Amino acid sequence: MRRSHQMAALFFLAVSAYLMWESWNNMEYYTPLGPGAGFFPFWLGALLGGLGIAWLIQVSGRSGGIEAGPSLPPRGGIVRILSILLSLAAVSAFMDLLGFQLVMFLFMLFVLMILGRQRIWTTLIIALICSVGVYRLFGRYLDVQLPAAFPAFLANLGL
Amino acid sequence: MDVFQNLLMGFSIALTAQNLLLAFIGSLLGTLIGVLPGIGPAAGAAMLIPLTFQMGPTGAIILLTSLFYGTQYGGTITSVLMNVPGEAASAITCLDGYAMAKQGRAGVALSIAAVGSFIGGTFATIALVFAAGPLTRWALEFGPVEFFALIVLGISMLTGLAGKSMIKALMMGVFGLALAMIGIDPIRGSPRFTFDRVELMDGIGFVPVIMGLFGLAEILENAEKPFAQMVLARMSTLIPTRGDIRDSVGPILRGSVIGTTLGLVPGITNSASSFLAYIAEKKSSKTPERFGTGMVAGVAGPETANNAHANGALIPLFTLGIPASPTIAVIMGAFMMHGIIPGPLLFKEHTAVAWGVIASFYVGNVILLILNLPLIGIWVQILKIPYGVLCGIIMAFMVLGAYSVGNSTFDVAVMTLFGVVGYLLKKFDFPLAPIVLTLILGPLMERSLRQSLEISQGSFGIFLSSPIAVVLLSLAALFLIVPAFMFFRRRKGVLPGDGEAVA
Amino acid sequence: MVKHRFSAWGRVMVGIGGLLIVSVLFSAVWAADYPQKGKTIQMLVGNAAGGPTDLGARIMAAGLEKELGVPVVVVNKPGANGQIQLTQVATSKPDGYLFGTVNFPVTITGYLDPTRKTTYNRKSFEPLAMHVNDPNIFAVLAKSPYKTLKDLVDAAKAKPKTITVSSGMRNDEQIGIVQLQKMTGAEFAQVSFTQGTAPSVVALLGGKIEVHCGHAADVLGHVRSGDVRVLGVMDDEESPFLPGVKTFEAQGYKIYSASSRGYLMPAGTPKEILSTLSGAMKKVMATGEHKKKMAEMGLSIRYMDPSQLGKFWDESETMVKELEPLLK
Repeated sequence: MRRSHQMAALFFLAVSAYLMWESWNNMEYYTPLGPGAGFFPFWLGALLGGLGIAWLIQVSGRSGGIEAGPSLPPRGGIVRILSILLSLAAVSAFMDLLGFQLVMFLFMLFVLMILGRQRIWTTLIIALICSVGVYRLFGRYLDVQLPAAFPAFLANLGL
Repeated sequence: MDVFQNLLMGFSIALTAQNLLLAFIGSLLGTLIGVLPGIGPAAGAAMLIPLTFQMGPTGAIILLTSLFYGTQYGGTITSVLMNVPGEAASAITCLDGYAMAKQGRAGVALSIAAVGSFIGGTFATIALVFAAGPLTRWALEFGPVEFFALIVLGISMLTGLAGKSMIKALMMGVFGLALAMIGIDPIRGSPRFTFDRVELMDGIGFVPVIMGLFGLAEILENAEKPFAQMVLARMSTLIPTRGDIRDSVGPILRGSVIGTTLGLVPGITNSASSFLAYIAEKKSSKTPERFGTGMVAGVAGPETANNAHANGALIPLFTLGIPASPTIAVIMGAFMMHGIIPGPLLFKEHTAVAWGVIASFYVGNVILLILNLPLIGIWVQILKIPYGVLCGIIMAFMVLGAYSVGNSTFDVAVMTLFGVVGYLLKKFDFPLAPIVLTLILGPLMERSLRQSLEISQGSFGIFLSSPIAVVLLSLAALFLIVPAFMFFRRRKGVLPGDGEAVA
Repeated sequence: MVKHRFSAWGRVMVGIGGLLIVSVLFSAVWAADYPQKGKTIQMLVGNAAGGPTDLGARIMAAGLEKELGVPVVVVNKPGANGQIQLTQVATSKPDGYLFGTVNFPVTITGYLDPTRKTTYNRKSFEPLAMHVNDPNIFAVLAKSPYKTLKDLVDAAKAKPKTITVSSGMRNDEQIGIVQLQKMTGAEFAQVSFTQGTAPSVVALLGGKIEVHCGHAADVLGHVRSGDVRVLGVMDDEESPFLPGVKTFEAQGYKIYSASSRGYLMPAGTPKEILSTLSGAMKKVMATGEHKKKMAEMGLSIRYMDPSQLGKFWDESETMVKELEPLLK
């Protein structure tokens, strides 16, 4: 458990190093009128680094064992989490291409049927409402144009 | 008294059938917009403007303003029920509100929030009626220098959000400030940390970030167990207990004052108000460590503050014709489109319209209370939906919300990323609230610092030349130093009860 | 060699010529059908809902719907001073069913700034029409010692970099101020206000800055109540909203600077479509209702057709390039 905390601390140190490096090299540190664009990121990086080191020490010291570390979720949990993330990534990647309705429909099918273990009819109804229903509602009444499909053959289907 | 006469006249205008109907429609729409993440009041108001062309000025303004403060009522609902902030100001309500929902007290949370919102909104309106002039003059004292000092004070109060670990809270605060640096810098005007992506040039979207940190992270955490095992409190009590009511009085009073005063200062968003009200509650409480587990004060304070802020922010519009926020700018545009210029002459030249609208603020708040309280019974039924279905709906909701902020799928990706970030941070016991606080206040700080130094042409002495700034900055120093001091004293084993607190 | 009646080359030329004629005819026919019933025209606004550009655009959209008989839907794509929206417009199909707003001069300073790495420039667009011309003004408190523009300039020359003026970041306000500085040698202390004009009006009213550089609509109420005095307008004619306020030119400083808003379409859009849509806009802008609504917002409208707008754009680009080194 100590190890995972240490890894987390190292991650923060990496972020702080990046902040400091990027602001030192690519931005103005100080201008005639005051702090430049690179001033705050640099010092924030330094501060984060300092705090990260303090945490690392705290976690590595003798009292580090007291605090219960994060437990890795069971395999089923990991699979579920990753699949949620992947499906969300797919949604943001494909929504502009395939249109809101199609992508959201597939997404809902996945989440409701595969993850949520719901029956087919419940899934279909809810998925349709959330995809086609929302698209029409937002388009007509709220003036919010959700993405339509790009390829012509899909667009002609009304997607 | 003149004021009472005008007020009576105003009520006679506000209570006509047409204006009542408009207030009702505005409140309803506002609540719905508040529930829908992504679509903010500004967009909603802008969409309604063409519809108002046909109406008289009083009616149009009543519609738009009731929509505006109505959104503050709606935002609470999703925060409490799903841990998804309906809009920025409701983010802090997620902390204790959702916790209460998990304990089966969702109805209590929502009703206390509704009542608090009503009292906050009404308080601010009373302030508008009786003290508009002096309050506005006071608000004008806040130039860039004082603003900077105020923001620094706000950031320093993040120490009040620390739970068991001050180091972790500080790290999250720094992390939030670093996130706030993404975008076009206010000094040279060139992109900073944008990885060459156009979408990041205006900064990382605030709403997608909080939806990810709170909403998605919660879902990911729940996904560790099979959904069938997830039970989100089946029964929900609706009526607050006497203890709850007693616990809410203080927060509501404090929230009203905080919200109204901060609402007067243009540039302070109402998320800042609600956060600072939360911190104030935590500091005034006898049991600060229980915040985050379902303390009523943690809901009552912020919710009152954000409504008080919304109504308070209308004050500068009426007295000086200054919009304190983008939505109010839309309302101002609506005024102008009907031939009325809000400002010093508003009360003289358009007495009827001005007082009619002000009276409608009272009426609107009442309508919202009446509208929202019974609906709570319906809203809490949502919690009864099996998690397997609810989770899907929540995610669809979040995707929609993240997208509609800027009509961009990039924001959906941001939300997803921060869902992971939030999940991991929670695993390691990092508090999420400091991130949100500094993310809100960070850009304001850098910008006002820059403006202050442009005024003084580089001299830091300008901060000492303003008494308000000196006071605020000293308070900020106190907030930062005292907790650090206490922390070190504890480490030396001077204070009792050391065993529990670990840094 | 067998001599054919038409050489191979000849046949190719006839073929190409035929194709060209057909496509021109086709696009003319196709364009003449524009806008087709049942299709929706999208107007992409590069600013957030409710801001001055957005409100003006929505008023135009409402008018266009009536004029053209097809739905005209406003879609906000805010961010990066319009860069996100313009990127999308530049890469969309030039079929006439999507057009966008354009703000001068920030659009120009945007693509001229190398750090912004825009993927578009002047050639990526066809100018469509000009809508709003909002000239810059200089305003001070009524109780300020500067009664005329000359007072201000003299004071600024006497004490360089002490008189605070609200400015922007590579926008019309900064361009106006920089032109004044260049012309007179005076140096102001520019204070950047990048989040709309309200904060700088507040700063003016609170006495935190001495001069507010902005637009007429910012201070209409305060001018009428007597709290604020406008020293001048940077335009070739006086503003109808500020009677009695002289132009900068009339006071000896020939400076024109304004925030102008217009519309554009992706490059390659057929001329017929451009002139149809632009003509429709001209008709909308001539209606009494439109004029009234815009006037009440304090926005003066000035129509320009595609070629006039193109000329204006090119001239503005030249001017911005000249002033580039002075813009921080």
